[in-house]
Amino acid sequence: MEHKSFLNLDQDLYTFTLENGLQVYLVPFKNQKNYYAILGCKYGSRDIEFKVKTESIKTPLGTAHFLEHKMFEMEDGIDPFKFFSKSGVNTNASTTFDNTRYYIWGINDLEKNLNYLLDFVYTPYFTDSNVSKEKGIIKEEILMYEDDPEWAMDDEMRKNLFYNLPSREKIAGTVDSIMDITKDDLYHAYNAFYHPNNMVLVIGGNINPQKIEKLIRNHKKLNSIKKIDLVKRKVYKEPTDVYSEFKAIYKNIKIPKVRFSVKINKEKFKDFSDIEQNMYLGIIMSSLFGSTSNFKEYVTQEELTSGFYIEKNTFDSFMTLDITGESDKADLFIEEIKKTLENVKVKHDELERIKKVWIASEIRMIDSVEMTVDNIYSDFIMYNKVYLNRVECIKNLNSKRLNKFIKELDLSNQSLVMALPEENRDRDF
Amino acid sequence: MKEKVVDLKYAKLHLIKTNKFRSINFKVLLKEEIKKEDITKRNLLTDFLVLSTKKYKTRKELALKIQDLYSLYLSSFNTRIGNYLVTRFNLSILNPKYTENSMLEESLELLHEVLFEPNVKNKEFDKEIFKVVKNDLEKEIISSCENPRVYANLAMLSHLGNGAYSYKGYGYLEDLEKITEKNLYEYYKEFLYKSCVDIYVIGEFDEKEMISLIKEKIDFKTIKKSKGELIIYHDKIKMRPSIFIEDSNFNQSKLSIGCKLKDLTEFERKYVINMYNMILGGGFNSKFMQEIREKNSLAYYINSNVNKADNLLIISSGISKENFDKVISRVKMIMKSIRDGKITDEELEQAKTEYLSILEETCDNIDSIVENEIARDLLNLDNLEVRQEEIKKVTIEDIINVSKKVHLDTIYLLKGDNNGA
Repeated sequence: MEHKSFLNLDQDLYTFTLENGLQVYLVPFKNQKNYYAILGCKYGSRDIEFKVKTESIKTPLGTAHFLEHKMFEMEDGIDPFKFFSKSGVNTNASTTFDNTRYYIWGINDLEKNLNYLLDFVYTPYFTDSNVSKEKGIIKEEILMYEDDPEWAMDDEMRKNLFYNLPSREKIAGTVDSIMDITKDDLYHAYNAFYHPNNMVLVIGGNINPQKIEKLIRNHKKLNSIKKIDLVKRKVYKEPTDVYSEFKAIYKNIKIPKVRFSVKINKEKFKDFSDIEQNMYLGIIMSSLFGSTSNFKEYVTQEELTSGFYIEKNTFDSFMTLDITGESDKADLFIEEIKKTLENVKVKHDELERIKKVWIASEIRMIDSVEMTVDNIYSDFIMYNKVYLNRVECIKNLNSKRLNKFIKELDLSNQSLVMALPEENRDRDF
Repeated sequence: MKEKVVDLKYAKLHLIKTNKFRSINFKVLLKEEIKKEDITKRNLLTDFLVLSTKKYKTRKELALKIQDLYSLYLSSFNTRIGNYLVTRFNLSILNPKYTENSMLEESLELLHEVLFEPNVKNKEFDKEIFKVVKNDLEKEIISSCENPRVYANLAMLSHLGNGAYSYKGYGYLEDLEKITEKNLYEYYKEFLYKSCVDIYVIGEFDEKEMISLIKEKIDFKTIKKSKGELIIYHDKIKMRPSIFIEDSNFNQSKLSIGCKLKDLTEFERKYVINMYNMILGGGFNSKFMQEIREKNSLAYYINSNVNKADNLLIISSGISKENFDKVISRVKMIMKSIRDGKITDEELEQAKTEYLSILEETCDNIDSIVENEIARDLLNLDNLEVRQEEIKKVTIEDIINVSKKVHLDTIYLLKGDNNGA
């Protein structure tokens, strides 16, 4: 087991890899009582077509999310929720475009519960009847998300942005597609993706690293799985431009909402590592749209919006820059966004100020078991490695590289989704 | 970790010393008895105060200052707790040992300016900032009904009665119209002198230095004792619950059920009702989850919550409209089964374990520690050590007894049309 530490932050980290390829990260916190463990898999809603040996397999939309629900089914009838809650420990799972995670958090009986987390994720048990029973529950879940206007705009936006990437579809699939899911689909997907060398285990909090290492190395079920080659995912060709520039949807709302996104092809940034790409784009976003930006001052003072937020996302070889806001002067708000994107410049002192803010937030984050574990997990999913020297990475950001990044940055592939009040449906737009 | 309370005359200063965290948090809490017509004003006021000050006149200037102070967190927040309106001003800074020595004083100076040196000209609040804040609040009030879950919950409460629990937290458009730069400034001055003040500080600090800094920077120059009961009590109990159904064009139907709690003993209020709720619908593995979601796939979620200040237990669920009758009859059946004593030792043990572990977990989060203390002070609960011991004494008999004091009052359905997808 390798012993490392988060640079300058007085926090240890241990890591090792099992023979079958499972990567393990352990972060012992000195004075916290709780623990938090994530067992995650690089398999998400986008992975609908793949090749196992020579056989091509295609599964219905929503299979990854469906599989996540069904992992909680055990042949011996024990319900994992019940098992964990006996010691007051919570469990849950979530599926995104590119990964599925199972997690537990609590205070008591770490060893027993960690053992069981490994047991249940490495024991698939799907039957016709337990698959069909789940359809009602997932249908309700899909309908619930459709009622959330921002969620619905997000779903529509990915359809606008992408021609071919499966991430353009909803994570949970559609009410129709999930009806087609069978236990065979679930087994195909499970056997292809739920392999230790496609997975990671991160545990933080009140833990003894040596003890936990021993437990993991001795876990029968986990260690009986032999290393296999990673499954081949279908690679999709995706144009740089957007599939559609506009879409209006109608929702039960009073004030219109807008979602404006820019599609950015990462190909131009081969000189920059993934984390650098993410950080420089982040700097630009903070500078253009953050709390001290001229944009924010102007749209707030002119009442072009009653609130907005910015995000960035990665889908395969594309990044997106996303602005979501509420506005009853949407055309003026959008015009201002477009104007701002036309002139990207970040002054040196501004870069330094943003760096200071980011470093402060890194120090705060390390206080939280949950955030620290989450960060390690998402590093693994996004970058295939864990950055222990984030503060150094931030310090290394400089104007020269930033300007080079800006020079390559093409922000012209834009799309807009508007959510309008239901009563506007019949009006001309 | 020990809490020490210092009487500053104008406020109680609660000092919680711990070296578990890399930040130091401050909460200035102002409370007074709630008046419905004050809610909107208070929201507007506290939004206004954290956006600019006399010295940092625009939103951008204040934002830049905040970043200079290593991106401290500054916010204000209003909640209704029982019959009281409670305002919190929150400040969170990095421990100066990670930044610069002067940061403690400089950050508290900023909080001082936010509280006592607002952006005022000619005895009225700054027009530009006021306009923005008012506009934002108006939008917030209008769109607060967009979330069907929140909407259903508020609608249920308005049918349940006219106590403070039926007030809308965002406020009211008709009240907002009447507020001006001038009368809000008048209200601000009143607010400073009328409220009862508590100041909470948590983190690693030198006690003497902290007390003198707080005295210097956060001085309300007023002495006020709270009066009036915070907890809401119900006197009328219905024989049968009333049912209200409203149409909507959301996909999913939202169910909200209100139950009144009446005549609980101190021990029941502090402990037994928590165990009852955990077993009924509060825990991950509750009877509701087992019976309604897992066994019968009738809902995506169903849970229950206890509000001790309002003496209410509220059940919320997302369902398909055609399952309404089935869900209601199962909810009633499950509540009856508890009254009939159908609780196993295992269920009770598990509820206790879950409760204890939630209690302990709160000690790992800087904000939860303070919020725990605040709840304890407001609701007159016991301290952590006592709670850990007392909860173990709850018996099945106790839960059966308390279950008879939970009275189903109002059932509200926001009916969806299910035609999505």
